[in-house]
Amino acid sequence: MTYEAKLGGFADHIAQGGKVEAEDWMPDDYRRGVLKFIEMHANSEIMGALPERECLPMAPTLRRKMSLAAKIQDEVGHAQLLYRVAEDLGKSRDAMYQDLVNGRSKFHNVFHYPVFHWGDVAIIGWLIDGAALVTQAALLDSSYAPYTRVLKRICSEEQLHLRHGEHITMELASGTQAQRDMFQDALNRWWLPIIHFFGPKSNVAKDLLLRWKVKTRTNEDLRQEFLDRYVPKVLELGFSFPTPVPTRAESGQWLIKDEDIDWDPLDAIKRNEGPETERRLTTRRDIYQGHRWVREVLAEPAVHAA
Amino acid sequence: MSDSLISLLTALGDDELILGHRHSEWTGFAPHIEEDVAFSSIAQDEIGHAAGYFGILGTLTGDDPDHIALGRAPEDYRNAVLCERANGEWAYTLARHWLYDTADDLRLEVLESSAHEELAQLATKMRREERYHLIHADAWIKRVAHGPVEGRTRLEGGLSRAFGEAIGLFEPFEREDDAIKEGWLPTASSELRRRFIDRASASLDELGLPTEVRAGVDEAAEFVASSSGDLIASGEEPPGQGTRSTGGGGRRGVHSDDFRQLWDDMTRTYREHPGATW
Repeated sequence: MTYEAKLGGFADHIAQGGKVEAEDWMPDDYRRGVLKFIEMHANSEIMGALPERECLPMAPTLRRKMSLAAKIQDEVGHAQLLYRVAEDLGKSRDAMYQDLVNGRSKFHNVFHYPVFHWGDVAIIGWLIDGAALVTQAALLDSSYAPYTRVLKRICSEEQLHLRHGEHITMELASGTQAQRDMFQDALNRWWLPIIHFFGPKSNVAKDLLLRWKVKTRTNEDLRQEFLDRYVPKVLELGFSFPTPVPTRAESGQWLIKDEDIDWDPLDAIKRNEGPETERRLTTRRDIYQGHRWVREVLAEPAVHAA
Repeated sequence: MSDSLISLLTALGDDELILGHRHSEWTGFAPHIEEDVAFSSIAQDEIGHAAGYFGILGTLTGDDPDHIALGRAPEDYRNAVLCERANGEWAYTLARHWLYDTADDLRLEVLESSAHEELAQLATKMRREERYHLIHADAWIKRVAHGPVEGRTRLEGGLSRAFGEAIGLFEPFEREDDAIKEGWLPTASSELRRRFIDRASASLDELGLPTEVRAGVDEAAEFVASSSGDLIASGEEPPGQGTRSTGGGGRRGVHSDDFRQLWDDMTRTYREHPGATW
């Protein structure tokens, strides 16, 4: 069969809603696109552990200390699942890890920002995980089948994280003025990065991942779902939004005007120049390099002596 | 109820809380992904055990367990110094993890027959979980001890640093004599210390690790009452001087600088928001 014939067959299969398995034939740009996408998701889970772990030592109760540790543990576990799915597309975990720590691959914009206090835990657990869940749920119908299988598990765990974030938010919202101030302060800092999280308007004609149905919905569509779901909840708790302020349209939708969004911070992050990019990557690199001796230990078969 | 029981529960709970806190600092930082997940479970268990001890303590003193955990002044914590030490490198963490869980197993074994029924039941429940910690620690120690030279050398370094201070886990706590009389603690710390040194030494011999890793252990030292009434270790040298140490002090509320930094982090949110609910 010629390449063109194979490609045509693949395109028809995708167009009819068909799924792709790791061992199936796929065009190189599909393989590269899916790999890059899943690799970034995996990177984001492992990098996402860092900001939250900075808050872990300051947890205000024993129960919160345990639940936040368990949540971060889940994120690290997601990274493990995702790296394995990505590995099947032809890149070793070690190669992905080296690209990550050397700044050659990407991770989500929200993990390039600093954390300061327990209010950040509320925002990350509720709004950032809420945003992630909107995007991940949309991927459950992705054309790359191995990805959808791990996403099912990831999404069900993320539902629990969302409740954890919601509980922390409720405690702050119904707490002392200082607790409410913590949440508002965190919201002021995180709102723009959360809007950035969905990315700029999709270019449907050019977006390979949309064409191959790896992604099934546009960035603006996902952002709209997030806004409609969360903006009313935040307002109901008596908090207010910084720029870009969402406004209610006659249709009932919560809209953000494109001209209100400053994209410069996201562009800086794409160049690895976010507020915490260098520190977090250095941390990961130091952990990786400092544990070469551990990898050497594990590379040797276990000896069951004595 | 009994002051000696309160004193015992405080020491036990503080060991678990402070070591659990240190272990949790590896979350997101462990040498590789699978270990990150495993070690986080161990950290969560230790913090859960602290909550168990403080739960019983709270029924005796009327204090909220979170207040016991996060609302005390630094000098009121009674954990052994070993538990508070900064994590340092993975080899030190492994050495401490193994020494601590070996010691904890001996301690829980006797607590299972404590005259305080609730404590005895808690000990049985915790020992089931601690069994897995010990399996985890043993597997690592064996793997590293039988592995390449660099790892083995690092492990020896970690054990040398941690072993002396592990003895401090058996520094008698305040009113221990009363706790033994009442049956809260069925076996004295001095006897547990002997069992610990025997068991840990035998394991290290089996692994072929040099006896020098135990150089910091002063097996002859006794914890005695000083003229001020404090328990001090005979022959104990000021911190940072000499290598021989009983690792004592923690049970009297005498802690290292590492503890101060840990306490600042750990109690920060709780301290800054008195009366808040979380």
